[in-house]
Amino acid sequence: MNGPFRQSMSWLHTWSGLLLSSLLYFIFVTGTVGYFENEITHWMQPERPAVSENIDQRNILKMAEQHLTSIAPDAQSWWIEFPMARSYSAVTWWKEPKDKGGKWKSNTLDLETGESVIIRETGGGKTLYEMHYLLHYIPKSLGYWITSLAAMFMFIALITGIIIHKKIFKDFFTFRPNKKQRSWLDIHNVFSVIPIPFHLMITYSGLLFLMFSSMPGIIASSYGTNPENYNGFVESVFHEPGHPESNHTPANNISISSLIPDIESRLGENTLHEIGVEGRGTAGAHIQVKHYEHTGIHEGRELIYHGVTGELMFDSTKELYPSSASKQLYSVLTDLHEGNFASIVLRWLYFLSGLMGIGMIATGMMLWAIKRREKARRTGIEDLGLNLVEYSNIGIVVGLPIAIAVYFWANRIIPIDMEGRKIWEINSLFITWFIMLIAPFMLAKKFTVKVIWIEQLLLASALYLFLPVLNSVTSDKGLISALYQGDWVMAGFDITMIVFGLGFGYAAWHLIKTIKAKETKC
Amino acid sequence: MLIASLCVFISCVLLSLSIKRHYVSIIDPSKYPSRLGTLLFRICGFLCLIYSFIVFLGLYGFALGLVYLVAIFTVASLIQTLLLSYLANWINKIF
Repeated sequence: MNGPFRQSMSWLHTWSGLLLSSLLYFIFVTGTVGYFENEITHWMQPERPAVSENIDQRNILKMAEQHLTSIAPDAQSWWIEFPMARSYSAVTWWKEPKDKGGKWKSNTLDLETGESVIIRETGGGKTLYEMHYLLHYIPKSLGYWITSLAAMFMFIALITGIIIHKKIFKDFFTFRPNKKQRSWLDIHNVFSVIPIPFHLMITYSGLLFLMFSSMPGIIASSYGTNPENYNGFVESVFHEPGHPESNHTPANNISISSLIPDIESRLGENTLHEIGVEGRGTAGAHIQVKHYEHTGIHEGRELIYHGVTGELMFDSTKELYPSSASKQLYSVLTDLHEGNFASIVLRWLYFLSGLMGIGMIATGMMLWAIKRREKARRTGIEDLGLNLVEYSNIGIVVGLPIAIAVYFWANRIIPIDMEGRKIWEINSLFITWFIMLIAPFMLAKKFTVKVIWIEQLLLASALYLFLPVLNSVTSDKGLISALYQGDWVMAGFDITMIVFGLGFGYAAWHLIKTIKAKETKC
Repeated sequence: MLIASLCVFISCVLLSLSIKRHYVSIIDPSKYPSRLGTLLFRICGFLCLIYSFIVFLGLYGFALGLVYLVAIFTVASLIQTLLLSYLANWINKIF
């Protein structure tokens, strides 16, 4: 790493970006998709009953309470999710007692009958979203460690990228097409520089999210290494004032419905996102109420009532983040990272910034290979590493979107009543990705790199373009009927898939055109 | 919100015109802009950006307003980049 400062930074930028680029690409793709986690889950469970616009939350609450009383009378916790904002169904959640496993279970309710609806088991958007920090098939803590390391590499690549970019302002708004390597560098700069506030925020806040796993020594130095002491740390740092202490003495609790007049006088009618009881049947029981609208970038207004007396114990508007500056900074950055506050317009803008991040990583990977290919052409020395990167780039850049498309296909093709269908949906994603990764190496003797790119791009295009067709064949919520019913989430998903399909198709067509132009020149 | 977003787009146009490369490709291919012209474009561009920030601030508060400004500036810059790359020649032909 000798030479002037900028050269050293350039070296660091190249290698910190390249070493974990495939992992970063995976994290960015799954994280970006995660901004539409609820909408993806809605598409992947077409059995969910349609919800009318004029809902009466009092009725839903009554239905949900009756439902929970009949199926989970001894549960430790109850939660009711209302079909508001980005929740598209009424869902009941409950945590079973410890002697029955202590697991969380849920049911979706039909608002006309009050009965639970049988919906297909699926990983939905949640599993895709969780992959961006847990990865898959590995223990949680290892997932945190690896993603944390990748975020650190990304952060280094971003900072060094800013340092080495000599003409960061002069080159702003600049993309020169059809200029080979120059064009690749330009588009890499466009995807990196324009959304740089997003890239810095998302990477730094990602590091903050995972700091308790990646830097456990700091907590251990004050609280010790015992896991129970770690809980003490969480309790002392994140315990909101006004939240009741746990008390396991058995006691009779009030019903949630009895609090509705007071809740409505404070929050208004039909404005609830969630309502739940924690510590049911004990003297420490409390009822949590969450408003559907966010307060700026933070979560919506929250009320907490005592589960035995019904007394209001906490109102987040009065005690919103009365904490240290560092904890406030942590809250602001992590809230920005998750983007839960984002309206539909802002959510699409988040998604677009994420796509640009994906583009930045992909073009960075390609640029490395293109630069070295030029050099290899000049010197005539074939590089094994270069071949490895060139072929694996195809399987990573196009292979992953293909694998995600197959995940959606699997959701519709795997029989609804199949045991472990959720696991097989995810397996199908990784099996496909594995095939896409090794396919370029297997085809290398028969076809050129560009032809393999075209093959995978065409496959991606076909999979995305035919997904709405598959949806209309396998469910009663196809694109046309969804548009007719005004189900914009279902329709929006299908339209987005068509756009992606056309995008991949255009990329394939552009490559074919380039090859043909070269052939005519020769 | 629409007016503020439009202002962000206008600020992108003005800021791009304050850059020699883009000025030459759009306004006058035969000569570079004067220093005063460049400065004027830049000042007007930043003024538009500040105006939109104030509007977003009033509409959504500091944190959310800033998020909106950055997000819309990102889209506007991307569109401006694509327009300058592919439509600059057309604009020259038209005018």
